[in-house]
Amino acid sequence: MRLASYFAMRFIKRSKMQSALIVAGLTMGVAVLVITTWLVEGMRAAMDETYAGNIPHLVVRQLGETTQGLEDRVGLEETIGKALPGLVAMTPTLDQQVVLRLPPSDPAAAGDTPLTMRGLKLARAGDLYPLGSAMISGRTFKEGREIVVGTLLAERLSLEVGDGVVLEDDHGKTATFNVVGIFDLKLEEENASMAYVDLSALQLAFGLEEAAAQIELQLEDAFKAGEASLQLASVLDWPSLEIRSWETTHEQLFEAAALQRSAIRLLMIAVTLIIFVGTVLILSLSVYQRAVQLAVFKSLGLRSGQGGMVFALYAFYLSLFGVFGGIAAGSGLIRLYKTQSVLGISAYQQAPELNLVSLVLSLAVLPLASAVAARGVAQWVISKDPAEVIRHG
Amino acid sequence: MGNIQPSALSLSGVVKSFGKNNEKRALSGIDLAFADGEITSITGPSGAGKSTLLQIAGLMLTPDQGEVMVRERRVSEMTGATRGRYLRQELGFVFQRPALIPEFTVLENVLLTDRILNGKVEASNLPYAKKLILEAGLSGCEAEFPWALSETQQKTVTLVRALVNMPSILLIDEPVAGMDERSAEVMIRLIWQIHEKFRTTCIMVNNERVLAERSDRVIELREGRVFADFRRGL
Repeated sequence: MRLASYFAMRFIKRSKMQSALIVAGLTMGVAVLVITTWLVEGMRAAMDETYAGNIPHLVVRQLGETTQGLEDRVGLEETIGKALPGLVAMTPTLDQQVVLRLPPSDPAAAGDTPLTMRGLKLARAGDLYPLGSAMISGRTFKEGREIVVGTLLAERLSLEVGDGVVLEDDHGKTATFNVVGIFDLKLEEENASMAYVDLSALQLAFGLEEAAAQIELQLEDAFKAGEASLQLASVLDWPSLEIRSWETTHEQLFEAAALQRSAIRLLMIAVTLIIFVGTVLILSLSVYQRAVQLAVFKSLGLRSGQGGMVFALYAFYLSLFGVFGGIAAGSGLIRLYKTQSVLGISAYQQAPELNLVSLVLSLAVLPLASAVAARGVAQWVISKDPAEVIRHG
Repeated sequence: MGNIQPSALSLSGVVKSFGKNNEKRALSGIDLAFADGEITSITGPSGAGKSTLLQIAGLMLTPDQGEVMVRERRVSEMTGATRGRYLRQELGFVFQRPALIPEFTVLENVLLTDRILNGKVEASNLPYAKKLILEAGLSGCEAEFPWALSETQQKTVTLVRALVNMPSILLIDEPVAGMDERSAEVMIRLIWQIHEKFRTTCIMVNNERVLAERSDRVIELREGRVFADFRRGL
């Protein structure tokens, strides 16, 4: 091993230009891989957020028509919480169709406005209902008779924070809520016809006891919804329950997201393969170019295994330098892109943090693969007749 | 009855073919024994099998059939390690073309066998290596890299490398081919000096009249067979 390392280092040091060019090439390749991984990771996170960031990935509800909604909703929530480790948000929801009436004294009180009131547990809803960041005035609702309405509805009815609204259900039951905030969810329909309240407040106001139509769930990885629904089905002992993933409820959205995910994955595989294969080929070629040296070694009694080890170490050291150089160059460029505008491209401040540990671990394969390939090439060359190799090169 | 001198190296029934289906026969049943301390020239036309014979004798090639014996030991019965040790200590091989490592200096090339054999250079070998380099007319070239030398000088370095471990058998492929008269004379003088000093057995492939005339024995090969085999003075 010492002898092999001595020869390997000698080849690297004495062929400075060749070694420098190989390391520079590998550094660039690895830097490209690091930056691509970072960009793709950012792109994937942004796409996941766009496609599945604000929708329930799983919905649990009572099978068939029911007026009572979910049975033992609290027990069900506990079971779900224990069964799904990747759960990031969960809220029971209940929709109540109402008509909104302004106090008769209000000049805008011209007729009734149909409205869907959705009751939910905002504290546990996470990104399912990002009302906190969507408020353009006022605040989100708390427990009690507080309601938030969409910006279009507020405009149409000249509603302002602090106004009181009367809501009446199908059975003529009325309840008064205070407008505490106005939201803009960037969806016209939601902004025009939805209002959100605390679930308990809704149940209490309209005498709905503990009723909830469904439980909405959001997972850490939206694309594990199918797997999670099977896992949940095996745990939940409620035959009357229906578990639906967004794969079914938002089929087109899911397909589009899955397609883009596959495209990104393919792109990453292609880039990784090109860089890995390129590295291995460059180093193998560099070993092949030293066929005469190998033949001389063999003629002087160096065994095939020793010859293989010389060039395995040669390739390992060079690719190791390249990997470290590439990680340093890639990380440096990423830091630059995140903080300032480069070549007219504005800084990408929202990009994810680069996971250096996982990057180093995954790139550790490269020097090993290079060493194995170089060793193979060296042993193949060393198996040839040395006199012929020396004569013909 | 005359004295039966043990041979330094012998080949019996050696057959070697090349090509995809071994269709090209290079050697056809060679039986030869090389006496200790003798200089032998192997001559013959191109394609007669001279270099193949030398490579088999130098353990660079394995014969398809037959046996090679070094100091009465069958090479085929040697383990890899013993064979390697023999290759490095008993035999010195000089290729027709200079076979140097371009990344190593002249001195490092000369001491390469030592490094491969021991994993390091024995301090005691250094003065001898330097002396040989000097005697070979390569004074001042120790720290040079091979690419800075002429082809003749490179070939001389290859010879010096083969000699530095004081092998008992020296195999040289075309020692003076392509050399000018002066360089050839230096090379020949060096080979004979070593031979006289250490009684080294020399087996050379060459078609140079001057070398053949000075050799103890001349073997002529034709089409992979021994065509003529005669000793000087007989």
